[in-house]
Amino acid sequence: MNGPVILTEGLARTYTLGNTRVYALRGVSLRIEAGEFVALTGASGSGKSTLMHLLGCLDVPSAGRYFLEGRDVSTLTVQQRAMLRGRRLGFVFQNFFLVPSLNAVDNVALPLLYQPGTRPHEAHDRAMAALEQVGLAERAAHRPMELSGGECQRVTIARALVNNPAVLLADEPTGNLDSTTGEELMAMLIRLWQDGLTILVVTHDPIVAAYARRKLVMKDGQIIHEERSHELLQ
Amino acid sequence: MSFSNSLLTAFRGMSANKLRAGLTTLGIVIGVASVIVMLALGNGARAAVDSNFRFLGADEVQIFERKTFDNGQVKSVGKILSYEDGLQMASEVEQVKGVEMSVSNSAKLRHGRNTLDLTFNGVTAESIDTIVASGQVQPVNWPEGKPLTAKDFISRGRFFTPSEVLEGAEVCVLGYDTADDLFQGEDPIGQTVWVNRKPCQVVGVVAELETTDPERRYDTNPNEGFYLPISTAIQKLYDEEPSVNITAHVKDENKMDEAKSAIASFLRPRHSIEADSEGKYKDDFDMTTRKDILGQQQKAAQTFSLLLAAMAVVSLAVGGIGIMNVMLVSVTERTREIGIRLAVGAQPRDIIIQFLLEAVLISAAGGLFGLAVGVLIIPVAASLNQGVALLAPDSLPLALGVALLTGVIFGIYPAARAARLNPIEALRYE
Repeated sequence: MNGPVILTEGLARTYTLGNTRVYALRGVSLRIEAGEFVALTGASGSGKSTLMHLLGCLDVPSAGRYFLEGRDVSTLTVQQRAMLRGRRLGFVFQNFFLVPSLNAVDNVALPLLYQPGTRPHEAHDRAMAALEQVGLAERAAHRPMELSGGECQRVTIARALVNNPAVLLADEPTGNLDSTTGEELMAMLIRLWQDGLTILVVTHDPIVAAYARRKLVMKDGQIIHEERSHELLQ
Repeated sequence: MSFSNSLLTAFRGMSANKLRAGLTTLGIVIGVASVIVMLALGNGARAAVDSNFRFLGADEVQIFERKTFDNGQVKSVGKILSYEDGLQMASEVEQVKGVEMSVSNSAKLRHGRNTLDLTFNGVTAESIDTIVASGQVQPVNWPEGKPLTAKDFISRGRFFTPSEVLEGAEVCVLGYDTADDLFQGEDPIGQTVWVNRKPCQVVGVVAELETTDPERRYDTNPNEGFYLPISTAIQKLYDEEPSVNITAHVKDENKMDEAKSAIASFLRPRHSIEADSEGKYKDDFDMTTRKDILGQQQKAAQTFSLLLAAMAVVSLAVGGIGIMNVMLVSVTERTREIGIRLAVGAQPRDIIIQFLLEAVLISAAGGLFGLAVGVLIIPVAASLNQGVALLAPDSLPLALGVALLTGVIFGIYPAARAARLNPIEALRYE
């Protein structure tokens, strides 16, 4: 695909809490090219999670425009956004967010099952392939409560990859992991990036941010600083 | 999401809390069982009427003398219903197209040295058609479904004619066994028998008959007894004129009430019955139709049915509210799961279908269990309702449908609430 995967123009998000108007995001313009590994950092309340929700089509902007793979998605309906999330976006959350009653492979297959026309056996096969990609095929039949934190996060990554997304959005992916497991997970993200995946990691951890080639720093709902690194933290 | 996957997801959701789901179904179980039993009572009442009053055609009004108990004795309250009443009714009541009459008593029947104590039936010539039409008896080994005519009921000779009835001819038709017992192989046609010492010429023998209802096969023997013209029976076999049973055939069976009024208006002046100060009549006769009997039978079952209907409605409502409550709890407990599903691409309608199916599965499970309970309870209900309760086949899908509908109605709100959740807030829910 030519052009940026993500392009935002003056993206804003305001909330009303009682009589108070909260400006969570104040005109963010951002461009992420295909194959980039970007870290979005900032203190708590800086607006990075709000931005990730908008980029993940989980929320709609109050103002500004958002183009995903060249398509203006800022005005999509609830249904269209749901479809887009399932087809072109992959999420990795700090708390894993796996369905406890489903085993690993069924959790990974979940996005596929909501895609019209996907047959259950096809979804299962693709989910198994995604689990193999993260080295967890042998744990496919285990439920989240039977898996370690690192394994749960790998299942989450497999779920994010199963639809071959345009971009993987990771929100504090190592937040619930010990340092060794966190490093292993980041190494896995690096491998995926090297394979061509576009990755946006939201983190307040400078070590995690250091894995990225481009670091965006947010404060008070705006991107205040950007830095690029040519060396990867291995 | 495909329907099979939605169903599987809903089933998993329900199975996650088996005890809770099981307890939730109780209201549905009671409601569905009540519906089954209620319909069985209504169906039983209808079947009982069909079985017990099959002889009463839809166009027939039965008229009989009203009697009362006085000092342990049965007494007439007014005039008897006379043979003349019946004859005149046929010609004078516009709504009536024909009248049958009958009297019945016991008599000694003798031929040669053989004497039998038997029941005789003094009837009109058309009575043979009514017996055929009633379907209560049929010739032995009669092929199922083959139409019957009056001729099939006579094995030898003939039945008496209307003119023989009007004339009071001394003729009779013997039952199959009676002819056999009395004549022992001889041909009875044309022979004279003596009924209470009155001569009577045998003109026919009824075919060997059996009752069509196997349960009644041993009640009475349809092959014993004999038939006489009613006029002959009244003249020869009674000291005083007996009261006759009259069956009036009405021209338009949709106007039975009108016909009954016309018959009453015809009989009252003949029986010197006048209206009292309130304009009411103290009739000395009663009339009944198939519809009346059905109404009485259904009235008996109605009170019980009403109670069950109320119980069914309350149980289903309570069951439905139970389902709604459990589903609301389930939605709250699984808020984060809903958030996950929405985040990975579930449409709001997928969430609605998932939770609605879960509610319907709970109600379906309750419905199926309720069907089994209802079927098992029917004999108990029958014993409390004079043995009148019969499983209505239609009631099974109906009751299950009601259960499913309850699940849908009470599952919609929790499902819609789940689908309205904001994915971000749902994911943040603790």
